[in-house]
Amino acid sequence: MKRTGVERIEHSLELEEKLDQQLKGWMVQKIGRVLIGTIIFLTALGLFGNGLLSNKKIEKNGTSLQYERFLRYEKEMDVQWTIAGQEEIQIRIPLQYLDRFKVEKVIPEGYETATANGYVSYTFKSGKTTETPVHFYLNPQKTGNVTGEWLVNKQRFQLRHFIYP
Amino acid sequence: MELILRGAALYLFLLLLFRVLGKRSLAETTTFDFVLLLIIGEATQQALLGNDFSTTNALVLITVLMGIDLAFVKLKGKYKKLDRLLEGTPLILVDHGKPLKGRMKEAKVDTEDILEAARISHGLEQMHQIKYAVLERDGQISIIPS
Repeated sequence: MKRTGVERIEHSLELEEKLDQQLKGWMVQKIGRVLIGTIIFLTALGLFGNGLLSNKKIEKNGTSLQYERFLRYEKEMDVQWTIAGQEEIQIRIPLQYLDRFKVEKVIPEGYETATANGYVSYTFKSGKTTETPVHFYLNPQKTGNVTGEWLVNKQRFQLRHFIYP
Repeated sequence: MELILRGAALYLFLLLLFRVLGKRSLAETTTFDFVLLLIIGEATQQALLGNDFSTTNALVLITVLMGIDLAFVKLKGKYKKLDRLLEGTPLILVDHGKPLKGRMKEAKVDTEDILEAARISHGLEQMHQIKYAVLERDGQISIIPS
């Protein structure tokens, strides 16, 4: 392997210098440094959560959903809904989706829950026609890809996550 | 099993990271580097132990890490190529008083580092008094006077 700038010498020392291997090593180190920089950059953008790449927002007929696309194992996340103009709000979450999470907290409290047809449903009485925020604080319990279709007053919302170990 | 995987993953990640950072990275440890190492240790501890702070978990983890380390020592002893890959090889930086600038640049060692090593180990004053300066596998600079 030829490389300008790195001197090749004859020496009397009894040591295995292996210059060609050093050159390969330096090349790998340079690639590694670029990789470190790239990972830092992507982390800042939200590849591992909390950022541009991770934040997802969906709006449909007066209902808006905000959640994190990239999650980390056992790091709590917030699925945030804002529902306008509904006196009764029913949010149905697939059991298969909930199998990957532990429900830590649901806000507002004072909801009714029921399980039917592979869904857990949460019913909230809003009592007003303004915007109602609903937060589900979920704690990821398994790693990998997770998808689930939530139903909010029969409207379908597809949530996709990747949970890092 | 999860504990073994966590231990192995972190061991390999740190091995790779410090290999990529180069051998001089730990050799010239400053006070701040030391603080940084403590922070890395703290972050690693959280990832390794998770929410289980039991003595059993800690003992198992230590055994796993020591086991992996022992396995690497054995493998490095058996396979020279792996040893060179993981630990690197020594590199001559000064040849008969002449600094080998290309090598020094790649290894991120400057003339001051070599002169400092020469002063500390042999009380030498000038570059021309050095026959060879070698960047050893552990990141130290050894000096052979003229």
